[in-house]
Amino acid sequence: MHVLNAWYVAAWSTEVTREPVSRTVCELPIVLYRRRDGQAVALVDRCAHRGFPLSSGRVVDDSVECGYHGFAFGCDGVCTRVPAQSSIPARARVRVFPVVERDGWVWVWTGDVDRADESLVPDTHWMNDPEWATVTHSYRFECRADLVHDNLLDLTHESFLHQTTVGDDYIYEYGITVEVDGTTVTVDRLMPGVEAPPLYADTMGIDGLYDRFHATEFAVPSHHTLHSGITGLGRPREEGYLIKVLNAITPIDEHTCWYYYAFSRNFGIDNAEATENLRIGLGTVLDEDAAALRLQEIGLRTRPANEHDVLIAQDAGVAKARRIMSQLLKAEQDAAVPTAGARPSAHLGGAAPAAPAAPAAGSPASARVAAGAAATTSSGRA
Amino acid sequence: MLVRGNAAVPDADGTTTLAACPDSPERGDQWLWSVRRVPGTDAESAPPWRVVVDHDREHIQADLTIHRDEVVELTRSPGEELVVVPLTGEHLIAHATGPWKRWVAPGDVFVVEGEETESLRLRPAPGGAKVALVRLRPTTAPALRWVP
Repeated sequence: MHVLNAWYVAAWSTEVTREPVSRTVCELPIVLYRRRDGQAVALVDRCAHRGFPLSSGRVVDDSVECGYHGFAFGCDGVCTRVPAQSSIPARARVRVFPVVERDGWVWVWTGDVDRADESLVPDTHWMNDPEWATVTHSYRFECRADLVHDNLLDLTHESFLHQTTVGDDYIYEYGITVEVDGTTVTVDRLMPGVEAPPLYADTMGIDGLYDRFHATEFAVPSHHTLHSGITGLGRPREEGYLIKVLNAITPIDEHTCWYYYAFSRNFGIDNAEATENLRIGLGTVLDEDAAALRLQEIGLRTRPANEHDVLIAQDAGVAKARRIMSQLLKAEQDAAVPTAGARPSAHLGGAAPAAPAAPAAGSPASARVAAGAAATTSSGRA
Repeated sequence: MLVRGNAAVPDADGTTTLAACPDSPERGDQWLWSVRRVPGTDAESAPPWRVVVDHDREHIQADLTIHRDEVVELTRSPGEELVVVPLTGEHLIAHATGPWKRWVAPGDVFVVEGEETESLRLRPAPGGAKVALVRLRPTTAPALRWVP
């Protein structure tokens, strides 16, 4: 089950050309290609005629031509040519997915077309900003997307999983502040007065103590921006050496996902050696994540249904994000009203999110205190 | 943890759970409590809504206080949890020793927990503001760390 009313990264801009390319997003087969004017197009990757994948065909003018019997579909999804006859059946059309291309990523909207709001595409401008240096990676992770979300919202794993790479063995010693605003969850960790980590120290030739920070901002359900950096003791963050890590997580199916990654920094941007070292080092970190989450996926697939995660205080952001994801899924289920005779959608069904627990009202051990919004008490105990 | 009002999902009867421990049946321990925003329906509570705290007295002591138009210095002891519920107007919440501070308004909720003592300051905005503070203390054994 996936949240469909959302923007997901389907490809790098460089991957979408005049040759059709296939992608699966939230279990939806999609073919991507470019029109003659360069505009990216996303259609369902299934010919209306007999279900052959359009990505196995070719692009002709602004249409994609099926490689099986030559049906052609324009970028509006309407069939423009049936080679064997002059009349075109009205039902010969394929689904069109709204597309936004920004800063090197091609986003597709997998839900209701009427709700495809471009303003909801996250800010990724750092990837293209000349004041920032960027390295990128993309991976197919052999795990459900939720595990990547959890991984990004709880960076204490760096102290253990990335012991030989990132190697920050003190992160878990610092508490977090979680903020929930609409459907965005931010987990902020301030590490005041710590040594400048090697990335900053080596690149900028600095040493001494700095305030270090991580703030993972998760725009549920698909994108995390990690705002990280170091700044002078007690100084504003924006004055410091800053890093923006963009993480677009795109479900393929219930057990695999794409991970699109961009790491931008605003210091040492002309240091090509540092950039190359980062590219290699961050690739190793992502390898470590991919291996760990693959194992976790295996573990979860064999875990009894009555066993649940034991979340701790550091997981507060994880818990909140899961709750929001459940609410979004439930809202889509509730909004989907099946019509008579219609086949049930593959994205319907499943358990509703659990209701909050509370002591049983009226039980001997329960108690209740209350105060009204319009009460006039000042510093009084209710 | 700061949860903005735009993230709250009211029940069908208009009740909003602002914070609860545990917040789902499959998780948590015996330290049951919840802080809810309930539509005001009687003369005592007064409309439009009131803050209701439910808790298991076997394990939790809960105190609710109301503060109006005053700076509130708060100290949270290890194991205690504080729930800050703005009632009217705006308040600036700040950690006494750190840079973190946020304006909060009715609908928002701010929850603080942890194993070390910490200090907070609540400063009302000019023009009047009222806030409810819920302090939750374990009565028998150290409470587990709270997960929303």
